[in-house]
Amino acid sequence: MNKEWKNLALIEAWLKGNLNEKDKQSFEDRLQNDSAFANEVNEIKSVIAGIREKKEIEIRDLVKSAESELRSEGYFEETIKIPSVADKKPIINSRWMMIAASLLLLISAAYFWNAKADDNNLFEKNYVVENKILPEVMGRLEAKGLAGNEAAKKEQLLNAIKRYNNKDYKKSKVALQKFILNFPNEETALLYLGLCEIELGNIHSAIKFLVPLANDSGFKYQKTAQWYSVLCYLKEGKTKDFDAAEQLLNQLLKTESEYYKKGVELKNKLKSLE
Amino acid sequence: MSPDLNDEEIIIGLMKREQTATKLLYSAVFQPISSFVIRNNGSKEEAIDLMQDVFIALIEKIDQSKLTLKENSSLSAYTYGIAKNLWFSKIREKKNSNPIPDDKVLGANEVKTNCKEFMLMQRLAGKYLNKINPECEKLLTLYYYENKSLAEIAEIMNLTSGYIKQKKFRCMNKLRKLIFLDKDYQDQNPESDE
Repeated sequence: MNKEWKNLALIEAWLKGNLNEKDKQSFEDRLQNDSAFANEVNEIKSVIAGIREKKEIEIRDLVKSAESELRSEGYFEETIKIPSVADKKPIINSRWMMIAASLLLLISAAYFWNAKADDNNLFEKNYVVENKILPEVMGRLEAKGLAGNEAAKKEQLLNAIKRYNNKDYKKSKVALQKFILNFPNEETALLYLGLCEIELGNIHSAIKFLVPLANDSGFKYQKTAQWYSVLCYLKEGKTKDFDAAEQLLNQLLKTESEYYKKGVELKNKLKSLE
Repeated sequence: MSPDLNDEEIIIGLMKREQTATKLLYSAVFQPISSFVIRNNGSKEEAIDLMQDVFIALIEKIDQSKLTLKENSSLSAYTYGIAKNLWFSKIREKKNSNPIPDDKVLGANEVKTNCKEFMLMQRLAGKYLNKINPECEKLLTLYYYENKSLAEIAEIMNLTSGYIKQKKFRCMNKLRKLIFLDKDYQDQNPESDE
């Protein structure tokens, strides 16, 4: 074992606190009086710090990358915005928001209105409150077998969806928003939040929740999200929305589902209007 | 999105440094952590900064096999606990930020030189860690970052403890030599003969 190796072992033992009192004292005396040894100790300490820092940087990069992805998805805006709508001054805020939204709609309509979709009330003719998957969703949430946090999570979501089932959309929305604060990736909750927004007349907001789900092939209820997204786009009635509705409808009709028949009828109707 | 990963799957994902697991846990814990920071004299931006330290502490625990979830506890709750402790430490640091100036302990020039050299070697160690061979990188990481014992490393790498002990010294010296040959190091230490 050469000199370097011997010192490395000794220095590591000191750094890890593995020297007995006598050896520790002797080591520290040498550290005070032998500048070459003190330099070596510093070098080894800095190299070890560098190895640790390198790993920390890797984790920082990983977290930054997750953070920037969430930022691009609007996560940080959502998490701040949701509680303010749910908890405080909803009347004043929503009234001004509605006035502003109405003005925006009027201005937009002057430029973009596409008579094809709206004149035929395609939304009104096709929309019914979601009840095709509701029994299955509630059944899954009511199923027993889990304990602890997972059971509490299911119960919280079940209570929120029960309110939707009871047509209490305002309370359901608030309950879903609270749930999503804790579980922002729970897609079934996002779906029903979007559906509540439709019932409350907030079509733009509904689109914000439903369209990402409509494009998520891993989501169990993707077809439901697609169908209601199509209807929302038609309700919005702008040219670009009309195009988006057609695209989503085409996706919906690629495979059989509970919305297939109505989807085909809607597609034919849209074709006849072209 | 993968909303159905359970705690165990997220922990494995974090061990493998997977983006999906990181994002999933981040999004699950950020809101409560942010609310906590804001309630305790912080801001949303400070909460975002804190998340980095929270994940470093959490992943270090996972890497060092020190993470133990109590019964009926969850990874989110555990992570929230880390965040609370870290935030309270930061508050304490702010309150007690009356350090003894370095130049009262050592001469000012000495401190500057030592500090500069230390920082340079630290940076170069990071730079060259993945330039030595992968076996060395793994070994040094397991020993110095994950605090694994030689016997544990021997088991992980399917080698003998004796071999690992020798290999560690060789890897460490290899890394040190790369550092000494670096231009920045030589510029700062022109008399260096290594």
